[in-house]
This record gives sequence, structure tokens and C-alpha cells, in this order.
Amino acid sequence: MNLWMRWLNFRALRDLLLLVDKHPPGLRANEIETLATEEGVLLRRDGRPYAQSTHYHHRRTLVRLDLLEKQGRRFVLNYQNPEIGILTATTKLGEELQVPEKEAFANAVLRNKDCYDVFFRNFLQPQEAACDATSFVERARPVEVVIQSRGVERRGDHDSDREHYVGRNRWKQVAIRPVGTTKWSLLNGVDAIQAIHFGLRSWCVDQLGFLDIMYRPNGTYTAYPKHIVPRMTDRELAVEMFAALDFAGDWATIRIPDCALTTGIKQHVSVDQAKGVLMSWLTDHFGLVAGLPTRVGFITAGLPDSQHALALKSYLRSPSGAYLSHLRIHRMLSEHMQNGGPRS
Amino acid sequence: MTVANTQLSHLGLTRNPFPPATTGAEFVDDISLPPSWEKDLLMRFKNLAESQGSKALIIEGGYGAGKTFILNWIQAKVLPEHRVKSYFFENPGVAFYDLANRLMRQVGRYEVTKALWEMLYQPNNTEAAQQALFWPEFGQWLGTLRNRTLRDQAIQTLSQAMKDQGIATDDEILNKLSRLIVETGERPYFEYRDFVPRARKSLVAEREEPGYFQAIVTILRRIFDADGIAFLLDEFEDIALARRLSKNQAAAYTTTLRRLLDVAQREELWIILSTTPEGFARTSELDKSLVQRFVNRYIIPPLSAEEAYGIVAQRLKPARINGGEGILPFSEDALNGLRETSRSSPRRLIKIMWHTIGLALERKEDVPLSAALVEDAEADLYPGPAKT
Repeated sequence: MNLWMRWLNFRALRDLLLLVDKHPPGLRANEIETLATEEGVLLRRDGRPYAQSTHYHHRRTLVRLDLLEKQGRRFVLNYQNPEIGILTATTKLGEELQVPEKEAFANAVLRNKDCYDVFFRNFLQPQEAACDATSFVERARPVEVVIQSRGVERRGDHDSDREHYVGRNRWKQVAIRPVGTTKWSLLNGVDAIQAIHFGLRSWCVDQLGFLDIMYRPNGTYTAYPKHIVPRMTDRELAVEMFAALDFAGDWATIRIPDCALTTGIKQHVSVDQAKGVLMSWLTDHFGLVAGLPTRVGFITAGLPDSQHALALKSYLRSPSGAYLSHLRIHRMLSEHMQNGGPRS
Repeated sequence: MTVANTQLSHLGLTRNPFPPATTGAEFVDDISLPPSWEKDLLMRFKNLAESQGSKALIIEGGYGAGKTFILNWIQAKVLPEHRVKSYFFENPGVAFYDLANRLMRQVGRYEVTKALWEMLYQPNNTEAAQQALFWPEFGQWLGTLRNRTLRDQAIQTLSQAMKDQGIATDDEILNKLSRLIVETGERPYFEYRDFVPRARKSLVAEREEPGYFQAIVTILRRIFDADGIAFLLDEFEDIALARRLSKNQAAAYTTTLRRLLDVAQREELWIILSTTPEGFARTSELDKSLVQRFVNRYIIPPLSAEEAYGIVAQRLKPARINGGEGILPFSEDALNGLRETSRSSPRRLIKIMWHTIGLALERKEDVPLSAALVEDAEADLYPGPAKT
């Protein structure tokens, strides 16, 4: 497996393409680095320049994604790639990524064989290839991702029969499987975590927005495809979510993390959008929707401190600051759905 | 008569019958549930009594849904009918022996050891009965254990007697239980360290928690001549109230539940556990197979309008000076203006009614108290957007 994916800034990637575009004969690696630093394309938050390795990872990713190609010692744009036109349409450096640019990058990532082999293949049926972001979102299924890490004591050496303590390493593994299946795809080592968790997850979820995830309190997370631009208004989504409620008598009780995730998967919307609808029900229809608070300690039971914030993110926070795990929804809310629904 | 009482008498009440804290069933004269709840729960208990497996029931509801009230009702009304001796635990702690600690403190060391001692020395024939006439009382007997040799002899004798009566078979458990009796003379009460395995002079068997607990349950059942023992565990997940649970503590929590169920399967032990929906869901995520063993799960339904009326009437009845039915001093339609979220929650409802009476006194309202006044009280306690 080729696990070259690392954390990257896609806005910087787009700007690097623009820099190369301004120099038709192409740029050498050190010239790209100098320009990227001088133009403020790749700088740390405090304004200091990045180390060479960061420049290298960005440059190498553009090459791997077939957006740059190397001609001798110079890097030039790969005009054979249809996404190049979109990614160099803007002329201003430092602007936030626009939706077409996100889609173009998403297409490039999805078509990359290494990315497909280690990650996207789990979202698709066997032998099914991903061609672009739109079709991926329509066809892909949700997957579970588990990051496993534990201390391992190594004993013994090759030169002697006598065993002795030689150090403490951490054993790391990423396991991925489609939701509802039993067979895990396993990727071992630190590189796997860097490539999947800090690389592809960050690219697709945080920056390009064609996946969303929900952390489960057992340390796993579910990743599923969603549209980069929401195709449903909050009002339309509210109607769909209300229709999916299971009433016992006059009331339906939902578990917020489960409802938000199920809605996200079914409607290809973000967890935050689904949670936003639930929050609007709670605040706009105070008399018909009640939140059930829960103990923070119980949500985070058994989790290391580093994962507390991730686990809590799945829950709603009431205006008073309490974490809500469930909502009780009265049937009469339907009248408000028919009358236009909650605010959009 | 205080000023407040004089004012309350103006409303025809001896007191404000709605406790502001609204936790549990303290000072409630009529501890009955809405009829549909009672019917459903009684059916579940009938099935539990007849079942051969674990007698375990989960009561699930949000905060203020009535979990503690239901547990109190079970303790007062249901379990005695099945000749089951019950013990109530609040926030017992994650470790298994925390439960033993709470349990034995509830029973009292002197009382349980005296009863156990009397059971073990119960003469079973005329000759033994004659001898028993000259047998000292428990206190006197403890006084005879002056030195270590005598105490060791007593421990041996008691261990054998317990073994003969089938209380336990493991030597360590028998030894610890015998010491529990013999050392009562030195210290007639329990300390927390008594239930900490490996602690000096600990009274519990290390790594034999289920067997030890089973023996305790057997002892309690026999000394109280009960058909069963019940543990009512209120908001077990509240162990997480004040602190964050580490991985080990989370594991201890599920292990404790699992061991309780194991004991319940072998001994006549009823486990009735109340928890929030999230408590149930998280326990399920921590250990799915454990939750599957709780086959009986009662989800407290929200109150209907009639049930809410019934609860208010139930509380008012014993507090009215001139008796009567209904919800006097409130008008019959007083609850109609409440939001669904308030009317369906027992705790919210009772708090609102408590505050309404306070407002009525403050504003010197006349009987009957109107729906508008109840709505004002609701808006004071639960402010929010205008009623939908």
C-alpha cells in the first residue's frame, strides 16, 4: 500500500497551482518553495515559514493527483487533467476555496489509485470505481473507521537466546469496513494513521466537504458521503426528519447522535445540518419538543481526555449549557411542519 | 398558625402539597402510579416472578420522568406481595464491593451477624434445644471470644456450619463471613475498608466477588425468611455525576452489572435498575451483550393530559381542609394551558403547581386558581419562546 497522504492545506495547493500557472516554463522545487513563502501561500499561523518537508508533501501531492507534472527538474501544470482549468480559474491568491474548486480537488482525490485502494474502495461496491464527487456521493455507503493504538513491550534480540527488555513501542493500526459488514480492511503502522486519519479524513471531511463523520464514544467513527453544497434547505430537511420519526402515542423519542447520523447518511447532509434542525425544533417549538440532559461523565466514560471533545460533539448543547442526549417530540409538531416548518 | 399557613387555608389547603425538590416519593400519602403505568409494570413483575432466568428489570426515563417514584412504588407496593425483601441504592459506585458496602451498612453489622449466628446455632432437635436453653445470647457469646485461639475456633465452627447449611462452599468466602460474625465484638459496625479487597482485615474475598455476594444474598434471604432479595438501584449511571469515568472505571461499572446479573441468575435476587435513556444507550455501547441480558425494560411514557390531572389531584386530596374531589383549589381547566412538554413531565408539572400556589399566595388570588396563573408559573420556571 502506498500511504503517502498527509495533512495538507488545499487552499495552499490551489495557490501553488496558480503560482506555477504564472510561470509557463515551469518552476523548480526550490523556486516554488521560495515563491510560496514570499507570497504567503504556505506559512504557519504565526507567519513563520514551513519546513521543507511540508513544501515537499504539498508539491508531491499535486504530482500524485496528476495536477502537476515534472518536466526535467521543473514542475508544470498538467493541462491534460480537466480539473486544472477549474483550479486555475481564479487569479487571486489566498482566497477561500470555492465550491467548484472543492469539487475539482475531490474529483482528483477520488480518481487517485492509491487513495482509492487504501480508503475509498471501502465506500464502494467491489470493483466499482469512483469517477467524480457527485457520483461518489450518490453511490457510496458509510464506513466505520477504528484507530487502534496500544503500547507493546518488545523483548529478546537476535544475537542472544536470553530475553531482555529492549523498549516500549506503540502498535498502531487503522481498520475500515463498510457499515453492516464484518470484514475489516487493516492498515498497520504510523503511516496508515497519518495517511487515513490525518490525511484523507482531513482532506475529505474538513476541507473538501464531500464526507462527514461522527465519532462514537467507543473511539470509532462513522464516515459517510455528503453533498459539498447542501441540496436540501433546513426546512426540507426538517420535513424529511419529522416524517422519519417513530411515534409511540403522541410522542417520539430520538437519540440525538443516532438521529443526526442516520439523517446525514440518508439525506447526504452534514451531521451539523441535521443537528441544526433538531436545535431549531427545540428552541422554536419549546412547548412541543423537550431535551433530555445527560451527564458529561457518562458520555465520555472510558475515553481518554483527547477524545472527550469529539464524543461530546455528537450531542446537542442546550442554551443553559447542558448536553442533551435525547429529544422528546410531540406529534403536534407536524402542524408546524405543514405550516412551513421551522426557520430555514 | 404561621402566616403562610393562614394564607394556605384561604386556598382551602393545610400545606403546599407539591414538593419543590420533586425527587422521589417522600411525604406522599398516596404512592400510586397512573393506572396505565401500574398495569404495565404489574404485568412485568408477574412475568419476572414466574421466570426462571435473571430477575432483572430496567426502568428507563429522563430526569424528572418518575424513575425514583416508580422504584419507591415497587418497594412499597409490589415487592412485599412477592415476599421479596428490598434494598434501595442511590449512586452506589462502580466497584462491585461498593454495593456490598452499601448493602451491609443498610442492614447493619450487629443485626445481620446476630441473625446469622442465631440461624447457624438454631437447634434442630429436642436435645439440642435443651442445650440451647443454656446457650448464651449473641452478645454474651461474643464476650467469650477473649483471645485469638478462641476466635479461630469460633471461625472454624461457623465456617463448617455455613458450609453445612449450603451458604457457600469456597473456604475463603466461608472464612471471611465467619470473621464478619466473630469480629463484631471488636467493631459492631462496618467500615469502607472492610469491603476493599486486599486491604488489611478486609472482610471480602479477593477475586471471589460473585460467590461472596451470592452468599450474602443467601444469608439475607434466610434470616429475613424472604422468598427473594431485591436491589433497587436508582440512576446507576449517576456514578458519573461528579467525575469522568476512566477506562478502568467504565469497565468496573459494566463488570459490576454483569456480576449482579450472574448472582441474580443463581440466587433469588431481583435487580431493578433505573437509568436515563442515555445511560442505557451508553451501557449498551460499552457492553452490548450485558444490556441484552436485561430482557425486561420499561420505558416510562410521558404523562397524558388525564394522567397529569390525576397526579395533581392525588397530591391535593390529602392537603385539602374540607376534602372533596378534583383539583380544587385549581379550576378544572387549570392544566389546559400548560405546554405539552411541561404537562407530560411529572417533575415539571409538580414544580409548576408548587410555584403556582406560591404565586397565588403572593398575589392573594381567590379560589379557583385559573389556568392563566398556572401559565404564569410555568413561564417563571421554564421561560422560553411564546407557547406554540
